Amino acid sequence: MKIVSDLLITALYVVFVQNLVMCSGLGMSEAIRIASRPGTFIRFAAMISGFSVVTSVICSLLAIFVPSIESSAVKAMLYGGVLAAVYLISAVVVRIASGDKELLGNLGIAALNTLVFAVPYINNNASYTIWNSIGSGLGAGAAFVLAAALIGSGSRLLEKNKHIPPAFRGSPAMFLYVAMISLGFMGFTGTTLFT
Amino acid sequence: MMFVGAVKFNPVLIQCVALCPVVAATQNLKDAFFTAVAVFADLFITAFIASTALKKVPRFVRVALYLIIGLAIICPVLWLIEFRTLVTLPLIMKIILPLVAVNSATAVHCETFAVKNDVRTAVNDALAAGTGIGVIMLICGAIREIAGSGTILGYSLGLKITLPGMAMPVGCLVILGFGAAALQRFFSEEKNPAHKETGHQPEEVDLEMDDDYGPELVDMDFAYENDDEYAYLLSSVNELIDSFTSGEDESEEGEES
Repeated sequence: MKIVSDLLITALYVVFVQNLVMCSGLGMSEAIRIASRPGTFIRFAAMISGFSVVTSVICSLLAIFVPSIESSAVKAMLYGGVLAAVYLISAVVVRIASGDKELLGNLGIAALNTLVFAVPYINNNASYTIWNSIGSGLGAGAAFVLAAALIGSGSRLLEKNKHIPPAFRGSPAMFLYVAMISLGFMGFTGTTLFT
Repeated sequence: MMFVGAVKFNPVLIQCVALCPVVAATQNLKDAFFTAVAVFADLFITAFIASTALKKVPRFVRVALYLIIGLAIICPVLWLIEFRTLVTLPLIMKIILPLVAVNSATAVHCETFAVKNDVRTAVNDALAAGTGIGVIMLICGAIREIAGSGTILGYSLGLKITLPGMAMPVGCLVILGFGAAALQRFFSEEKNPAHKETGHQPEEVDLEMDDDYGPELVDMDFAYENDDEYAYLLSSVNELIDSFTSGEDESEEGEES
């Protein structure tokens, strides 16, 4: 029971309290790019969760067996190496099994982004257990799909809005819209905006 | 080409790439500078290697190599800073700097440009994109540090009111929003100077690429296709993602044939 609660609490924390995309900017470029394709949200969320979970678990196990790594440069090489290896193995499997080039391309975007790469760091800094790590990996995928859905739905409304001044149409309006969503998520963290 | 790539089609403000380093690492000018240098070096060296050595490598392998190359550039420098200098990096920088290795600007520019062009053109594009990203980072870092904590490079400016919210992602996104609007406004006025004199609002923002940076070189159609400015953005971003995610991989096709 504790395992399940650890997993769920961490996942919910990563999705809502500290939404990795909106509160940290991790994977924001990918979220904006994917936002215009609602049909791919679930696929990307599943792939991001999968890569995050597998990478996190491997990195957590490495931290248990090699606990003396203090250098952030060595950690980066280790985590990056694990991520690259997990991605390449998945890509080779997909290439051999289905040969679907679109899926292969999607795998690259889902695996090699700052969101997935940051999850092992977050787990390490927070001294998460394996179950917490799985929770944060699952939460990363959910956080991504939530951010992409919010950005996508808002961008379609912005697209239809003819009252937006010409200079603000397109990316400026979207940046400001994403800023407002980010502000909303920051409300969960209890941070002070003005002094 | 440098001006067009760095300013008119700024990777951050117009193409919406490299947002993570910009949002997460520009809370102050010092961090912004370190991150900008890392992004520039990563983009420049990776684009050079991509255009010289990776054209025949299958795309799905190439994108992993960008991560490895990025880490090979950043990690030794990070290690030297940690153990061979007196500079103390904050924890956030120890996390953000390695993340630069997977920033979307490198992948997008290498995949859509470097591997399809000669070395000189690829390097020029990387220089332009890296400069564009770096300048935006420095601007965001300076504004966020001044407004967020009332300091610049750690020195107090004696401001009575500060806005801690500017140090958060929302502050950076607001700066990017107004920066992108200023850029669009500037180029719409440049295209139609009469609008500036008469105060008349232009009906459309034409961001068509210059001939020297056009589709024949880039193999990306940034052309402004209809009256809807947002459709322009989506089409350009979708062009990038299409190019990145579709099966149009010349090296793979060549390999298979």
